[in-house]
Amino acid sequence: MHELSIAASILETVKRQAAANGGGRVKKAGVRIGALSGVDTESLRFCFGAIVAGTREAGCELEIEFEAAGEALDLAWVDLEDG
Amino acid sequence: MKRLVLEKKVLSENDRIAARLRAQFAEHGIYCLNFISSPGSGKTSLLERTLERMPPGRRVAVLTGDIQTDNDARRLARFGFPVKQITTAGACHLDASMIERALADWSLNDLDLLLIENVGNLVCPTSYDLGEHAKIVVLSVTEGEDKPLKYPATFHKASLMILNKTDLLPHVPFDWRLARSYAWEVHPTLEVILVSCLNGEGLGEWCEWLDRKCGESAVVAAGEASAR
Repeated sequence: MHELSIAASILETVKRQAAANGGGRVKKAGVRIGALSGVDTESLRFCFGAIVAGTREAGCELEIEFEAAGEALDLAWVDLEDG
Repeated sequence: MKRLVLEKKVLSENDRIAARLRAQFAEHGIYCLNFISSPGSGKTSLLERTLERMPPGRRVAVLTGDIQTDNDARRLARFGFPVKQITTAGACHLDASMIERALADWSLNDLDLLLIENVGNLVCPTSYDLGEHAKIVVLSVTEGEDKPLKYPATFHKASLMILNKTDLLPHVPFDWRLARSYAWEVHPTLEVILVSCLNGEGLGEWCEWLDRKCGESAVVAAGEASAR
């Protein structure tokens, strides 16, 4: 269950990028996860939903692209609301 | 709405600290191993048997991670080497910043080998680079042969699989060749050593592996030092 700390790392980067790019709210974050990353996509989605609730990023969704091979654990992009 | 392309590693902060640790290990000629397994596979027993067989003069230290208690550190401290318990207070893995903090009051100049026993967990520790030279996965014969298929990431990233508790093989329906072939499905070049921490089988082969790696690491460190 390290998905909680993975989710926290994603949220931290998302917040930092939002602040550095006009301060708009982040609506969606694109995450790429490889089969050998050791990360479970469903529990990551659950954990992310739990930690954004009640924060400024509440409602921010994760769009997870699962790769059948490789160790990817990347934050690929974020969709920012115009700030 | 605008899309901002980031293409960042989620654990880039951990990776940054791990890279800093790796550079320190290289500078001081320290060979570092990260032991990963399920709870109860015998990581601590393996380290006990390893420490009692340490060649004279090799300066070893151990970091051992657990969610609670310092039981493992107390077991390992009996051998006279510096040991520090990292209690993660709930976290299911060690990360690079925990290692950096734990090493802060040790003199790296006085070390040749750092053994890190991760929290017992076959999944989460795999994602966190600790700056180690190699990961070692410990699997015991009381687990399922298909663990490598169920937890492929750990077996994929490990350099060596220690198959522990071989003294129990006559008593359990565990086909070690099948377990090894599953591991090789995930990682075809994975080295495998069969060990019993109870009756000593395979410990010689394991200690030779460790000696060889420490030797190679020392040669690399000496080469880098002379290049500086």
